[in-house]
Amino acid sequence: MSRRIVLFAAAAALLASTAWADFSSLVRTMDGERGMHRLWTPGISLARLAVWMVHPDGVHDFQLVVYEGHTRFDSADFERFVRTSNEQPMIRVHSNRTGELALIWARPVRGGLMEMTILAHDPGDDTVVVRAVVDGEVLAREIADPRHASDIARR
Amino acid sequence: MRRILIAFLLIIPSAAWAQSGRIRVAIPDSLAATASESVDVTLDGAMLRFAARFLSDDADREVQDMVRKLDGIYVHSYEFDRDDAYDRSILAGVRAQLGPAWQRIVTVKSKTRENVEIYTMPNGKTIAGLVILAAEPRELTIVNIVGPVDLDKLASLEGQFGIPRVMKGDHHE
Repeated sequence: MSRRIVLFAAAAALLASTAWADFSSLVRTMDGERGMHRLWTPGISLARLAVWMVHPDGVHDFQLVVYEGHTRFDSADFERFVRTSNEQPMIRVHSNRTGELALIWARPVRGGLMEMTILAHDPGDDTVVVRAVVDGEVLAREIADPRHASDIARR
Repeated sequence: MRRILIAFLLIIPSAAWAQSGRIRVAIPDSLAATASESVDVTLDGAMLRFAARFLSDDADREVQDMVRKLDGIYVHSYEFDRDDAYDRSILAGVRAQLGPAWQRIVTVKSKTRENVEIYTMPNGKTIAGLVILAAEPRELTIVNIVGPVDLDKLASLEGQFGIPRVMKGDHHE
């Protein structure tokens, strides 16, 4: 019985570390992009703590990294971002016309919650990489129109 | 004997894939590179069952039930800045996968505007899969819905999950 518990714990840890690795891998890739500079967000740890307790707008947890820079990513960059995860993104939006780019990976976790990792880039605005554990309703609102998928990250 | 066994094992996944209503859409990287806008949506069964609970208010309960039973919704949509910027062989590649189990139920043809083909894969009294090919001079959309599809309720899915609005009853053949 204890062996089963250990195996279960190991599997859970592996799943959790995969999600963590996806976010970290995406952030590392973004860190390496020429012209992109990571912005320091004051009080982010306190905000995360508040989110854990209050769940504003159905968000139960988040990690956030914001970049500034007006780099315009091409299709090769886009594919490089996609390859930061072994999972296929649920939504991929890329505009060569405006340079806007959005990638969303999502998977159900516990009790009707969804874990999402999002990259939202607009050449005229900050770039956001966010991992969030959200209520399914929040996700459904976004995938109803994937062209506006990056809005969730900006909010 | 070993070779036969290996060949058999190799055939099983592709046969199962073909019978499931899922098609392989081989989109070359160059297509996304030349497209001015591209949208890809990949929703598998687990995600759909989850998302079905939160469909917009105008989707009735029956549509939610239909979505819950689906195995996947896959949408590939590309817009281009000039006419005929994409290789039509992509569509041919999709059509080539649609064997005798598939039936074309809708064809909309236009020399200058939208060309739409809708294929279904009947499975007894239900439909096991659906493919929509919508090709315009500057736009290409391929939709694959896998699982039991109720055609009467299909129109309700337009605009949901990135599925474009392509059902135009007055153009049906």
